[in-house]
Amino acid sequence: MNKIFGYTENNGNDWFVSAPYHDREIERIKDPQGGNVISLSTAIPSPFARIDMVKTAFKNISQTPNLKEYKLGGNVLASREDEKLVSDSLDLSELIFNIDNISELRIITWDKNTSLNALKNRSLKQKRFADTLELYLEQDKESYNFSLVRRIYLFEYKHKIIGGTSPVTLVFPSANDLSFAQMKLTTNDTLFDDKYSPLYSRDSEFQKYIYLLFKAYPILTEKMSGFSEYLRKNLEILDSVNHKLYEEIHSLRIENFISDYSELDTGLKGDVIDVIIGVNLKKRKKTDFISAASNSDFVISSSKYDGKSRPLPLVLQNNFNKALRYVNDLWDNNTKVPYYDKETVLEKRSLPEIKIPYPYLTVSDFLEPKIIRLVYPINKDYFDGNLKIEFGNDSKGYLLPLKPLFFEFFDVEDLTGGTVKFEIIQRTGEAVKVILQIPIKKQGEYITFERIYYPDPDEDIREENNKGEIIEQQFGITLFPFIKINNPEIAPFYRVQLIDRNISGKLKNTFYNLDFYSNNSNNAIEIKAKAKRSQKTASDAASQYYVLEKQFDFIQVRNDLANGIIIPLWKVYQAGNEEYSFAIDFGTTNTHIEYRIGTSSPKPFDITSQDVQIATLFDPIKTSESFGGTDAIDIRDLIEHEFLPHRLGKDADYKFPHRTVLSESYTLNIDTETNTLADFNIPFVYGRKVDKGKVHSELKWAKKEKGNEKRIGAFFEKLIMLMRNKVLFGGGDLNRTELIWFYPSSMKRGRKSDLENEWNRLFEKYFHSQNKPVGITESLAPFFYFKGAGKLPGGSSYRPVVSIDIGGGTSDIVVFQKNIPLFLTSFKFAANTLFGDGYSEFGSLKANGIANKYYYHFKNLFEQNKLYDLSKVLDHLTSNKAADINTFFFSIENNPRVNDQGLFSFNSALKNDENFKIIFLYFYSAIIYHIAQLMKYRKVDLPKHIIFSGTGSKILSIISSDNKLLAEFSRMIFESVYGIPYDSDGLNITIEKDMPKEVTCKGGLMCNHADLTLNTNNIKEVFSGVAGIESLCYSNLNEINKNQIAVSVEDFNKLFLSLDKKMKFIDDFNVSSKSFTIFKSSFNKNIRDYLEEGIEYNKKLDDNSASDKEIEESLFFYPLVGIINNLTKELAD
Amino acid sequence: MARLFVFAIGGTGTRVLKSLTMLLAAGVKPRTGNFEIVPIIIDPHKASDAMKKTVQLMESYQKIASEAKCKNGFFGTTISTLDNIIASENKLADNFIFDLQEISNTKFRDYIDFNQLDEANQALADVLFSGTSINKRHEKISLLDVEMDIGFVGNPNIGSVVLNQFKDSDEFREFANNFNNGDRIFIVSSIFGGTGAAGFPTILKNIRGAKNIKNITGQGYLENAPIGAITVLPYFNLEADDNSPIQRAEFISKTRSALYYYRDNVSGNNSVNALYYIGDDYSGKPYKNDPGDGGQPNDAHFIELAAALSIIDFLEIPDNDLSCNNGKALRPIYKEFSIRSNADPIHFSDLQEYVDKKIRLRLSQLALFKKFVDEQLIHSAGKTAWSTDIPEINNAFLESSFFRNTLIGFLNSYGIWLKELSNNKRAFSPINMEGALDTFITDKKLTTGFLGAKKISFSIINEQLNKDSKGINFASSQEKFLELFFETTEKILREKYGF
Repeated sequence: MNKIFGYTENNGNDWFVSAPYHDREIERIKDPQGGNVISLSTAIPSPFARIDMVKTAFKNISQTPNLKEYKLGGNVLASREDEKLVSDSLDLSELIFNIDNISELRIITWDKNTSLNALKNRSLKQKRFADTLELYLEQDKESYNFSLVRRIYLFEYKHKIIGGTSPVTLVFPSANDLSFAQMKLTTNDTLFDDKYSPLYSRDSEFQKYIYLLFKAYPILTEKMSGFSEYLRKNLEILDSVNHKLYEEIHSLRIENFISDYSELDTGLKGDVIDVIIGVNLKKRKKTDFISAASNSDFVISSSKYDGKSRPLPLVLQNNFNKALRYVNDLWDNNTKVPYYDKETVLEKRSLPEIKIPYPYLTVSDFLEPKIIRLVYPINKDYFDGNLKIEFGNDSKGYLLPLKPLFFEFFDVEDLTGGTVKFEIIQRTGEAVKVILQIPIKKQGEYITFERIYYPDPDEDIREENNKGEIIEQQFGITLFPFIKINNPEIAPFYRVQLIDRNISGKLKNTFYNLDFYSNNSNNAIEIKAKAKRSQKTASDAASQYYVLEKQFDFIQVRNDLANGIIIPLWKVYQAGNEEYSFAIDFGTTNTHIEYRIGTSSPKPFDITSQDVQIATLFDPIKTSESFGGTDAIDIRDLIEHEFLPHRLGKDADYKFPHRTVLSESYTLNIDTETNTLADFNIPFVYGRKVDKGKVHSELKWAKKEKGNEKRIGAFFEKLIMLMRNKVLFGGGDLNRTELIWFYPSSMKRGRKSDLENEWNRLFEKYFHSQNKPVGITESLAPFFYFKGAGKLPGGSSYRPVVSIDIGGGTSDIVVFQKNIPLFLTSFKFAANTLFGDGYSEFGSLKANGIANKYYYHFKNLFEQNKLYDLSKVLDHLTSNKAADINTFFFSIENNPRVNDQGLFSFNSALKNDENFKIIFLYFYSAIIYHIAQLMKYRKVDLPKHIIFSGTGSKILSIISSDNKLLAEFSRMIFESVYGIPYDSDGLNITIEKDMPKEVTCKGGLMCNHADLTLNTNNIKEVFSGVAGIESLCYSNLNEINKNQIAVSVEDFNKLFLSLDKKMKFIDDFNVSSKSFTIFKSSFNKNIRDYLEEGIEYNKKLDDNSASDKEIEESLFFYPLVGIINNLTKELAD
Repeated sequence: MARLFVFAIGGTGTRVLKSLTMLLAAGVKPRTGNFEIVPIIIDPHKASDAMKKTVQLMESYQKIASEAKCKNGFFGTTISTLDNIIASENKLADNFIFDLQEISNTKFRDYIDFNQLDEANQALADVLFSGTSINKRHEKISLLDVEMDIGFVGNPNIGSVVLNQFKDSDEFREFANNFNNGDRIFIVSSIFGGTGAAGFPTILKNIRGAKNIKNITGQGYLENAPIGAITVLPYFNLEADDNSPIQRAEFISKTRSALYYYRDNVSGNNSVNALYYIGDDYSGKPYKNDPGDGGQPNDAHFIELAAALSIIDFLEIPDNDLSCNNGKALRPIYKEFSIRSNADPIHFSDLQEYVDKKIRLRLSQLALFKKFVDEQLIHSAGKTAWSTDIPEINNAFLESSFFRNTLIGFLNSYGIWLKELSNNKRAFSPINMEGALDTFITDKKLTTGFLGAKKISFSIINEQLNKDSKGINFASSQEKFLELFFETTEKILREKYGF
């Protein structure tokens, strides 16, 4: 049998005439290695070999049953190389179809005319290249449709050419290693990898596009017959493997080709890509991805973010091993989800591995790179992130390492209520693991974000690696008031205190910023004001305050090194019907507030454990004294110093009445905008601890100027806020709250109306009550207390009752008859006369003998009893006015840190101090004498009761604890002045020893307001003491009437001395004889001089404004102030 | 005399050319007409030993043919270099070789000026010439970095570009200017290598598209020239070597791809008048894989001989069957080769009758001539009548450069060629030069004759030589030597061996 050295199976002899080699012959050429070799190079003797190879590959693959490499009886119908070429081509086509998702792809146009001409006009080498291209374009035009080629488009990805358009297979891939372009588009299939994908296993949308392309351009079926055959075979396979798609492809209409896709251009609009003339490629419409991605199982399940205006992002994690639908395919557990996506605009992101521009969320979008560790456990009033302690103790707390973006999808209630599971786990090695489980669209499924935070910094610690760092910080946050109103009708007012105690290490120079967010908005709420109080030093913490008038649900703490979230578990205001009434006695020295709920008895204002108004971030119980050894005690201390204490009242460290003082920063510029509880606060620690700021103690009578007005406003405002919160926490009705405030009758009208306006303004702002604040003369109220409390034996309707309220600065006297105030008078002759600086302009320890003497007394006591805090306070006060020092002495016995109250009682000390006693007696006598004279002048009956109120009335107990003795003494004065004796009912003295200050407020709450709102000006009396002159003014003061005033003082002195004849001062009042001797030698001296000083002093106080205005008090007391002050010094030695 | 321009491309082209030279030296001729053969070797691999030897061989042939004034018989066909035939004064290198320019020490990247191309052309070149190759240091390199002076090993697409310079060359111009009516062209190439596969379509397309080439005459003749070509399919096995650019498996896939290309762009568009296919799927002893400087040093192979015979066959096709119009063959002919049986080794008797007849006698004549020269001449020269008649074949002749170097050299090459053919797989061993006179034709063992007389011996040949030389005038010893032996060997082989 002939041996033919050829493949036609024709027969003949020698060189016989046979036939050209066609496909059949070519296929008969057996490859001994089975076609497994991926060819390194091409065999086609044409520069367009690559185009040819792809064409041939399509043809070969089309002959196989599954469109994959295929051998039949040792004969390779299609090689692995063929399969690769087809797969790479389809990869390239699919890539271009999804071109809008691929940012680094560029299209370069090679134009047959212009590009060849460009070559010809350059070097000889280039010309030769052009000639070759031209030769083959011409000679081989039939088999490659070159005559239909106007341009070839080259695709450049990441600066490398990955392929071009082909007139025979749509596109052809480069033979270079394309692994750098490996990517996923819309399915799990990776382009340009070594897992080759036939068309039928690709994205359905892409398949439809290819079929539509061939349908829209019938010429393709003719000109790209290999590809067309491939499509036919592919459709056959689809019939069984994806029948749905098979049906869809059959029902595609040419119109879809126009409507369903966008034009593919080179980047220039209209410069469309044609593979052969008239056949334009298209690309996927953007909306197409969005609808596919938005149906993913991984879409975030958020009730908050409805996805109407912006697409709902997917939530993705690594190592997710459930077969949920990703986009066009099931989730592949090998998909690498970046832990961090540097694209911050979610809408500009592309889904991991598949190049779909669709937003997704990864762990770093919700979890911070660093977690802030606190030096204390977090208060249970705040959400602690379900902290679990696996290791170590619970002496530390953590801020929630959440980014605000989280809250664009979830409310804080989702966290605290568990819709979103959140956990912070303190683990061994002090590492902290945070777990956040985000619900996704697939019912019951979660995506878990986890991050471990490490205590030591390390190169690896980066968001990209999902490794976090723990940053321990020393700061405190306190919210006030810790209540949420949830009623748009009621305006919220918040103050937030931030204490930054990072005073060393890398945190030293960092700063904090707080942003406050509400569930309703992605933007932080407006911060009405922000104030810095304390400055950071090497040993002291800094403080700053936020003034907010909107409700918020969480706070973002931003520090230069780390951020964190705080979620307060607010108490919620339950509106009720309780009516609250408050009475405020704003005193020179002390201020008191009483309140009552409904018709219950009044009681001093308090903050109990039931209605604590502030919430500190640190746990007030579990936090150790030294803040876990860090000594960050400022975090606690500055709350009381600059903000307010947890509790007030009985059994608390602080209570009302409290010193009328206001604290502010030394550096405060009073001319700038200021805010209460930001720039100012009432320091309840006053007198207990050394002031941290500048303390103003003279508010009530401070000169009228802007700063002082602001301070008074701030003082009032803080009180108002405390009261309002009392109502809120107690479930009261703000609208029906009542406010009573007091003013001294001696207060000038202008000043009084300033105060009135301030109270009205604040009350309106904070309560918006239907009741207007009621202003009452201080002096009227005590009577109603005594009367209401049944403390006037024998009643009050027949003979007059004298109410004497001795305050710090003024004494107010009202004479009642038949429960009606007959007249009242007021004078600046009060506690400060004894304990103050007299007429010396700059007060000091030296200006008052009592203070000076007892300074050493208490100094020693403190030292001996190791009360160093108090010792420091005392040192601090030495430059203050004497009144402040004495007031401090009086306060010591109420200090909870003092155990032996008797030992530290200033009152007891003075009671036992026989040297000073004469002054107290003298002081007391002067008041009674003046009242007696006035009453006599007004022709009023001798009084039956004298009732005492006001802090200054404590002096009475220094004189004698026996009221009867005082009553007898007083009676003698009245009888001397009136010149008639008392009847058998005699004179009663009634005093509230333990709460002389409180009775004003109590009385205010116990009376019928209508009775008290009378215009006291109409009953105001000033007993000039000068015959013939009803009223004095600075302009009509002259030597004559000044002398007459001096004479009236001398008259009183005489009377006073005469009293010793009736009752022995030395025996009955324990006045030392030495002091009495000194007293007698001194008390008649310099009367005129003191009068002048007094006039001068008061004139200044009245601002010199109106010299022709009536002097609203008796000048009788002016010389006495000087005499008494002088006596304190003389008697101290 | 009409000319046949033989473009021998790449390694296979050269080797076929070698076989053709042997055939012509033995006196094989087309049945009809006489052609002057003008071989043009196109191979960038200039250092190839095979090419050097073939060129030497043809030069020896020329020398022998011209000194001996051969007309018929041995060396009876004129082989000329292109330079030999041109009328112009532009002398070319007189060495059968088309000298490819700008390829030594040049990377393809530089050849096309890649780095200077504008963006679009660079992008196109980048993707068209993407992929990798392996260089002679066995390093994987980018295709653009292929060094071109070892041939376009496995990269015919690069070859197609580089070899296209042919159309701009002096050689092509002279070829075109001297191509006359009646002349023919034959292109020899392999399909599985690099150079041949690339060169064939390039030369073919340039000839058919000659009207577009400037500065030449005879474009019309060229466009419609009778062109024959043989494309040699894989016929030998190769040692597997992953580090070599040449792979047997690749041979096959490349062949298939290239054949698809030919199907569309050579046969498919009727570019060739007569296309010869030949190849062997015989997978015998693998050749050593050596693409390096020395070239693939393969032994001569029967397929190359058969391919050389296709040239003779082409020359036997009547002009009418080779006509063209607009560069397209009107009646393209496709041919395949057969032998009587799937024999290995192949003997003359395994060949079909026609070829057997055509070459059995002539190859055997040259073999017998060589055998006589090798084994007997020294004994007969100056002693026998045929040598002592004028012009004498004496010691002076034996010592002449013509004899000692040129002729003996050629005959030795012939001997080696035969030996290689017989040693190869598949083997062609019709003649065993080492065998005795009665056995050296392998399929014709002469038995002892009647009365025990030897049927063949050198003395019988001497006698025949004496007879044949009597009364004939020879112009020279050289002419006498070759003509006489041609005549005598033919007679001896016909009479004694029954050819």
